[in-house]
Amino acid sequence: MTLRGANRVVGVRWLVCLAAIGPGLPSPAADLPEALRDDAQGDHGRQTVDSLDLILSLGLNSAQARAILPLYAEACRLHQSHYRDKAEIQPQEIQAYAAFLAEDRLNRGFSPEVERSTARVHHRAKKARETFATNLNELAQGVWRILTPQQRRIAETYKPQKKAVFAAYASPKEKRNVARQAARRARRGPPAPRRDDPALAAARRELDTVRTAIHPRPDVIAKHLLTPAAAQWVYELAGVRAPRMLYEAVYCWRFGTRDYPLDRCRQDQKAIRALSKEINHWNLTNGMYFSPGQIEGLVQLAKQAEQLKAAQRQARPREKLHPDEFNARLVQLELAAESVLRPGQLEVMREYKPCLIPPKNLKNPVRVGQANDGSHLARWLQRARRTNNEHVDRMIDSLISSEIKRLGPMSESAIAERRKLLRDTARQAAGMSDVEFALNQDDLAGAITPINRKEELTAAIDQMHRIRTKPGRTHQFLLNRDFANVLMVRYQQLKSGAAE
Amino acid sequence: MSPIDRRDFLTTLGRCGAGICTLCAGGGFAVGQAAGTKRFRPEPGGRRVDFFESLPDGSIVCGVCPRHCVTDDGETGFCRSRTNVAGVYYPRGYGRPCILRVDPIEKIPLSHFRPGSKTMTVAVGGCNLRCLYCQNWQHSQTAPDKLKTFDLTPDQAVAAARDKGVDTIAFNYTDPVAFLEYAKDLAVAARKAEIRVVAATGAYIEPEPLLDFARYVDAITIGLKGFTQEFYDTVCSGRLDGVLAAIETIKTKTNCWLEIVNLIVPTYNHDPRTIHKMAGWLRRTVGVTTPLHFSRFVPMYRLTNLPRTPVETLESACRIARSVGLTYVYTSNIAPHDGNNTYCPKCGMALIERLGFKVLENRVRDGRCPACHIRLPGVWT
Repeated sequence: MTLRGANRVVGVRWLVCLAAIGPGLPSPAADLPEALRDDAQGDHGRQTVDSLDLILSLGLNSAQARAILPLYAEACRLHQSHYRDKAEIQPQEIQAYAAFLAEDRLNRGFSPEVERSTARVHHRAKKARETFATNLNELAQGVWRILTPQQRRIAETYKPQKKAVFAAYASPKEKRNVARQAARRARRGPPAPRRDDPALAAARRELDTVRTAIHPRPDVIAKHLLTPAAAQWVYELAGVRAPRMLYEAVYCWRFGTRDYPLDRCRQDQKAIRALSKEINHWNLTNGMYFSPGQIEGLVQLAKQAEQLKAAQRQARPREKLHPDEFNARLVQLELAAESVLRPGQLEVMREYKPCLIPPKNLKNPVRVGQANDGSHLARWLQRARRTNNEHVDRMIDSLISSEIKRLGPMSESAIAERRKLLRDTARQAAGMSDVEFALNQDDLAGAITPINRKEELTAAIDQMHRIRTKPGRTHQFLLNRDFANVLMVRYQQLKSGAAE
Repeated sequence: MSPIDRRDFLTTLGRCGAGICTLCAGGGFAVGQAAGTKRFRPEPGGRRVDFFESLPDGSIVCGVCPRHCVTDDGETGFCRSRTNVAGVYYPRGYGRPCILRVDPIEKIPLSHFRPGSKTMTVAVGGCNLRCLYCQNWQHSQTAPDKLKTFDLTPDQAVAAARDKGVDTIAFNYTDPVAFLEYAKDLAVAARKAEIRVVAATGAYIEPEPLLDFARYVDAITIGLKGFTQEFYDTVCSGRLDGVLAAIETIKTKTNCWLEIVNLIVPTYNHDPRTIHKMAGWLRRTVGVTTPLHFSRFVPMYRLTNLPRTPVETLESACRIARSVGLTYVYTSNIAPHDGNNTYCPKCGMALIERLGFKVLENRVRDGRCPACHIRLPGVWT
């Protein structure tokens, strides 16, 4: 049975659409079937089109497709298993986050059970996501090896070109629309060249690399080729009959499972995102101890910012503000918001990193974002003092590997340098008396605190935005509708004494 | 294997337990003796407690705090830190601090004493109070010799502070009343070395030892934990009048810089009328310029069933204290908050802006407000 015959098994409209394309891959000149075009408005269609675009861009041949098949089958299995994980974890996440949010809203601390269960389920979901991405990327490595050097270069720089793909596969009616839009653009003249700041772009690229290394995400091949969305194209190209397992994987990708349909999965994802976002807002609000007067001021400014953004969105192209002018207005609002804050609040704002569960630090009452202290390194040094050199070397290796996981990749030279620093400091600590060490442990821990490239880059980008008069962190965190809503609830709570 | 029912299981368990107990009572006696009846042996010629009275029967009446513990030979006082050895009273933790670290002075808390400076904090295990919310109960509610300690004579401590480049030594985390002998000797050595000494205490202490100690101390933060005897009975196991007398003594008979801290525990000492009464007493006794800190309670030790102190309660307490006339009222253990900052009482300028224990901006110049040049009470250099 070929995939074209699979519509009876799977019984989905999507596969009917695929079947309509006919044997072999459509040539760029071919029209995209009407049904698939409709479906392409949804995520599945878009993913299918992206996969097709990648395959066409790479110019994969049949031999390569056949070589990819075992990896592809494994990838489909991974997708299915990841979906099963999500089916189990997501409902738990919603339950835990909702309970956490209820306590967060009141700002009276968290009950241990709620805090523990939220942390547990959050960690589990994160682990599942990252394991899935890591496994998929490992399979993708196999695919990268199959590609020719030229194909690799294409893949490395590949970005989904939805518009181009749709233009290429457009129906006659759509083609007319595309032509009309092109003519309109021609009349208006070429757009003003984008003033790309190379430093900013480089910082963003590096930040993206660091983030991906810390929290693995599927790479371009894993995302667009090793996905059930590419099933049709890969098997057709290989000229091989698709196995039964594939239908199940495609069905799972398209509709979910009987117990956990895709619609519910999406609703849950949406709910989790909304809950996490609201919890972030509440964490910040709780940590800032806004006064009612400050809340009034900030809500006003957030509303103004929202109005400005909505006006810019809805305005006709000619009436839109120039981006520089638009940014300048947002920066003005941001400065006004900063003037509402007290210096202590500004300091907290500057160091704030959104997180789900704010860390407990009873030695320092400021408890807003993620922990950023070197106390674990002081404890590490304490342990290193009590042990021999051989064990210290093992401790160093373990510390460096955990830092790479936590802070992103390090070059070989950086690792060697860090190892030397840690060894020297551990020796220095071992050479100290107990009293000396007690008095110097914080300084020593400070000296071996690793460089957090992610934080550095974030701060640098924020600074560059300021120089270029673009809105920064204050705008990002405080001047939006969701945060304004949270502030209004807090205002009511403060008035009624329901929270602090 | 046949399953056993619940009754059989419990019977067997009981027999096993009885067997183990018998074994312990016989063969395990030596272990019990070693753990339970280990006697404290002071070093020959070791430091003695300064304030005690020996009774003809060999027992001792402690003279350090108003509790006046009477101890027989081998017995230790309520504070767990002084023992009667053959009719002589010895401190158990002398020269053996359990905490040694460098802290910001704001942690004491002291807001008008060299803001932004660092102190070398020393603490020895034990305490003569039993506050149910103690934040350092692992150290304060344990005998000094049962903790992991440093060997540090007063001279060595002063040398360590010097090496570290710190010019203030603080007694914090546990109450120096419990290790008064060591604290005093250290303060004397520090004074000789021109190092300043500050102390945080519950001030449940007799006037005489207090004056003896305070002669060598530059600043004291006294924890006035509540303002009713009921509170002291229920939460601290102490007496309010003893603490009030100590505060009065410090203010009237010493040159120490004094600050008062009151930790507000919801449902125990948050009553606005009591706070009003306390602020009034402070105004009359220590004057309007003595800083008063209202500290936030966080669930701890034996009061984990209570919530944190609401911010509104702290703010309301500040308002009450200011309405009574106190000039420098602070909130602590909560940040960022306006109550962390020092404001000029005349022009209202924010003179010291703080975020918790961190000084963000210090605008005080030579102890004066830079705008209106009013002199600010405290120690600024």
